[in-house]
Amino acid sequence: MNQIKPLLTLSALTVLLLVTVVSSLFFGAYSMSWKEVWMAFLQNENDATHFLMFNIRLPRIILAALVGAGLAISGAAIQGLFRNPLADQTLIGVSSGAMLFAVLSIVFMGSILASFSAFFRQASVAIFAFIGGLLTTYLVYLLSKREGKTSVMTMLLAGIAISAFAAAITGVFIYLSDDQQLRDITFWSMGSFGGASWIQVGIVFPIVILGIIFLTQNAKALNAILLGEMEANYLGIAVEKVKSRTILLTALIVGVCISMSGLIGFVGLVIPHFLRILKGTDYRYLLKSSALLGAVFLVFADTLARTIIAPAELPIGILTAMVGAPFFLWLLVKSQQKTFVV
Amino acid sequence: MINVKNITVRKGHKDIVKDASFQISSGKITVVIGKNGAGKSTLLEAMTQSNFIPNGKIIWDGKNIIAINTRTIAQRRAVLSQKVKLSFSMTVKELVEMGTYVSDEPLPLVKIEALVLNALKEIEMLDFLKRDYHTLSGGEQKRVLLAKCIVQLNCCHWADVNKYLFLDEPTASLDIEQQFNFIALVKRLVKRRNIGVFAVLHDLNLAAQFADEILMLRDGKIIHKGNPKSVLTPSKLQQTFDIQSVINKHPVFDCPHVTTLPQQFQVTHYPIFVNV
Repeated sequence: MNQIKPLLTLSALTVLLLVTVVSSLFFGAYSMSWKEVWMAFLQNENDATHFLMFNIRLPRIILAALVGAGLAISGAAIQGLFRNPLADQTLIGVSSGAMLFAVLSIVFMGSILASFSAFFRQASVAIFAFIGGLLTTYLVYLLSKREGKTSVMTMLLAGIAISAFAAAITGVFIYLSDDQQLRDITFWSMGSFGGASWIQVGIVFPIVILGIIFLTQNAKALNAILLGEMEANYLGIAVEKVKSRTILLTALIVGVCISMSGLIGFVGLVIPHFLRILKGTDYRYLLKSSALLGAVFLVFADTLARTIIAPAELPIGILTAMVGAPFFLWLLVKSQQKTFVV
Repeated sequence: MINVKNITVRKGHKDIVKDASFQISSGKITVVIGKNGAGKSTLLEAMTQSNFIPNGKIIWDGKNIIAINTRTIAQRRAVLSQKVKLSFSMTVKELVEMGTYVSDEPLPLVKIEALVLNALKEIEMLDFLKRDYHTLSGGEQKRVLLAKCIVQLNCCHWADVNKYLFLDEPTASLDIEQQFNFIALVKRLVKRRNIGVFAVLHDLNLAAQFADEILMLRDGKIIHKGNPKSVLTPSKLQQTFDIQSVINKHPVFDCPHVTTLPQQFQVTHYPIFVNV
């Protein structure tokens, strides 16, 4: 009986994701009726609604779902690895590194690539952000490694210090940037799926899906690590391997996600907690359900982002915090913090 | 049999365990006693943690521990730690079930359920199945952790594979009745399953009743080893703990009974207390 409940939750979340995705097809700067959506799928490629659906709306929704899934599952994995409910991907430096390199790209490459199209400039920011995220995580990881072992505590502190340092350098470049660059930087740091394309989906899809598959294989190990590294070792878990694998996977997932969408906070922290309060800590279900609910949450938030002040758009990072924070606080108060032992 | 040959464990610039040699046999209980900081827990860690290699050799059923991987060792031994603190809440069932993680293949749910219930029955905590581990008392937590060890040891069955249980101060947070029950339970496991036990204990009289062999540790060195009757003597306790002691025959069990006295105490006065 106990095994059925989590399966029910997972299937309910899958249905919820499908419903959210389908209903988000209707909304946007241009709202569509049932008939229009239906026709868009049937009509030939020259039609405007067909074009809107297949080249703008659909890739955007899929990208939002992938990024949401990636950010939420990474947050859950990092919280387990660090045995800290306050942890998320920012702790391993990937966000601040991505930010720094994105700013570098906007400020320096912007003038070099000025003659190229907007597509190249965007691609440059994405590539820089991805490289920056991975490099910073690698640095944090190196700093916390001693005699073949990684100290999670050192890693946490190194992550905070490196992030602060990266933020300071970012600040210098922001100070040096001109008005247009400043606008670009600000928008990047608040996140958006505005430029979503099938190419982006094509890059994010394999990394996020493979990442989810490999991370869920670590579920038992993450459960055991909740008892402490020594205890996990007593249970036959190769703790060091699990640690480096989890950090590499989350850095890859988060790196590729935020390189496409810009910084989107809150998803990695809140989604896993929400599920923990409702369904408990077992990582065999928590990882999968986090990925599903993260996808639902970002598709929903992105739909809001493009409809609330249509035809203009709100940056999605603002919405995730605006919707997520009050809801999360309500949940915290309601559950009387039973689930947290900080 | 686990054969420990001349192991030395260095932490920082200090040798915590020096040149220790002894054996742990199946169906026998080996107890290590000594002052705080004598190296008892470090000795236990060195023998259980496969990725931590001390100087010297630990031969595990004929094979050097270095050549055995983490999971294989976990299938053959369970460790009851002094204390386990969880960072997130977890039910008793979820925790005890982790004992099955050592299995090479995923086990059928029915078998997992049976292993968990069986272990909880053994520690008389069946009603606690769905309780949150955080809401349990220290003694209850200890017993739940023991249930996890039982599941771990019962999980994989092969003929001719010996199983071992390591206990780090298992009775520390238990009340008097639970201490007896705990010891009785472990003794039952030893007898029925022919498990070899290595335990760190503080209570000398529990050690006297519990142990087949006692190791006396002082500053990282094993200074005496042998059965309770041969090592629990005033002079050997003096060398181990810097205390005086009076040894009697235990009124009920066939083992020595130790009365410890502070170093400054004039032992010649003790008959007066007896008369009181």
